Amino acid sequence: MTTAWTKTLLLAGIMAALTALSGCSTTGGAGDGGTDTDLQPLEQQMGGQGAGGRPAEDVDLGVEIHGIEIGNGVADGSALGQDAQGLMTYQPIVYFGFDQSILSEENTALVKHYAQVLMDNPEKTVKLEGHTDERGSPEYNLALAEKRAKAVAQVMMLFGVNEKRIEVISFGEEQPAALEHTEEAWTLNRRVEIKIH
Amino acid sequence: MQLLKANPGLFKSIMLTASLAGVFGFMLPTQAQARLTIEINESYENALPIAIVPFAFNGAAMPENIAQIVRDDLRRSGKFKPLPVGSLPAQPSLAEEVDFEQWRPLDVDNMLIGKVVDMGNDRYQIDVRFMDVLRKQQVFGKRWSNIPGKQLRQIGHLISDLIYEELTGVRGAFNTQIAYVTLKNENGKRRYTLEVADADGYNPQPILRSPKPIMSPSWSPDGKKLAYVSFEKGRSYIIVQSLDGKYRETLASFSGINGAPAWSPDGLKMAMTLSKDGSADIYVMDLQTRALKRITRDWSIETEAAWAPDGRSIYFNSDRRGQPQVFQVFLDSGEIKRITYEGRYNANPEVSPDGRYIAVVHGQGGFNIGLQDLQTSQFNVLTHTFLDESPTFSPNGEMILYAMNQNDKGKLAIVSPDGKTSQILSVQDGQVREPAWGPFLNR
Repeated sequence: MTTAWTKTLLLAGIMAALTALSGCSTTGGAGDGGTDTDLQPLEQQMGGQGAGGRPAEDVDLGVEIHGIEIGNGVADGSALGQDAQGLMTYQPIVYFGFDQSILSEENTALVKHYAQVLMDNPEKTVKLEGHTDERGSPEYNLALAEKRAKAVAQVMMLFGVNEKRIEVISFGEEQPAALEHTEEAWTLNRRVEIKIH
Repeated sequence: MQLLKANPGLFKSIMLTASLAGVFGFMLPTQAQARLTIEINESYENALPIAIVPFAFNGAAMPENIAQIVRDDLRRSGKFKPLPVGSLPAQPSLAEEVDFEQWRPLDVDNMLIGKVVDMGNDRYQIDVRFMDVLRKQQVFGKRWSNIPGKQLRQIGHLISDLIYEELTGVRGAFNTQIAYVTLKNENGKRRYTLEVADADGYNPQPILRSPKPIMSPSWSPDGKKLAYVSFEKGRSYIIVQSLDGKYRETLASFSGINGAPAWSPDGLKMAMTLSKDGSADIYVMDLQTRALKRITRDWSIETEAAWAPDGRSIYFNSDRRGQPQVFQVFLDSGEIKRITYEGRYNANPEVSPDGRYIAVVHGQGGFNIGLQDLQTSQFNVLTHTFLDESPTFSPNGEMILYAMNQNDKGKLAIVSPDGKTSQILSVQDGQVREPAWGPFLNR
């Protein structure tokens, strides 16, 4: 995903927040979001070039090594757009400060808007995908990203969305929206993506 | 706080494969995986001069230059300065060929001599003698017989281990392995590979390839299995896999995150982070019964368990005070003690093998590796590279391997706990991260 594309989304997200009480916004477009693809079966890798067997004498030099290969799935996600009913689908994004998981007032309004979309469309469910920037410890970031997504879930539940319709997934720092190692990229990567399906 | 700085200007790229092939005119066995390239900080403050004499060989082409492997190992440790081959007064290979008077002017205390005999069918015999130049006597001698060509590198590392232990009193960790994750962009797709390589970056073996992220490899204490986090099913699951690929099992796939696996020192339990009951907390799973015991209960983040060497307590990271800091929980009493106070961000604790030090990811402006001395309570920032994370001790505690970013590229680096020596390991066409230094292999 390019930074420019993400910036568009950022703007779209802010516009959505500003128009939170006035109905739908249109933030569709191609992206890396969307459904996860099924994995192909595990395949035993052929002919591992392992360190070989044990030496004949004197020392134990370790194990014969083979790897397993997981089939190459389709790249992440699929495009979002209008569904069959002509209803817009959304990919808004909630952004956070460094090491923060509390929603600002603006972000609360944004989440409230999508909570209302869910209330108006009871057949739909929502995926909340939490992310962090790359700084600091990857496992802490995995927990922090979940904390962010759960903070968004809490607001949605506060505005009436049933917990059962909300799925929280944490990607930690593993799926950055912007690949640069700059403050700007980090700002774009500290996010929760709201995916309504 | 003492700041110990490694000067990146002193790094000099050493392409071991290229130089070997160039000098000796033979090809190394082809490897499917791109090897990690090592850059070594060329400062030798207090490094001990040592003579590693080229080994004699009775055949046409030696599959590996064992003396060079030993030379490189010792040099990378920062504690030894092997003399250039060209400066050696002679190249003896047998004890009776050594004229000690020749070696005295070089100001070396010790020398290694050896010979390799081709036994046919790609089998070799290796004799080495480690000599004390001043006392004019042999320190140790060792013979390996019937060794296949592809294991000669490991023989070299074993020799390095013997020398290191003889001269420092600390067991060498050259004959060990490291696990790490490479990330490559193949046709626009991110491709993750969990690999295991020798500690010098040679002989990389893929353990798992996946289009989805792989994180947090943790070695079993016997060095035969890895636990790790894989997103192959769309979210973080903990997997255990044997290095030979014959055993692979999902250990934790609860709702929420399944992360930060850490094998207990006795190999019977796995500490992990689960959020199935709310926020991220530390749990310990009995690997036989799969029974889970919840260790922490807090609304905040508790993650990154690291076992004390005695297995009786676990260090972990918690943001219960607002920012991540390291705490210790005693498993019998449940008592919790705060460990780190220096700065606003101390995460991912790793315990030194002797239990004295805790290495952490330390954030204060940038992110670097910090070292908390549990005996003196002193805290030092060890590294000064960019985006430093994922510290892991060598099994002898003499080195810390970590991940960092240099020139927009994820690399591994090695630093000594005193911050003096350092090395950088990188792959040519991708990022490398999430390192985990494996245990001692059986002698």
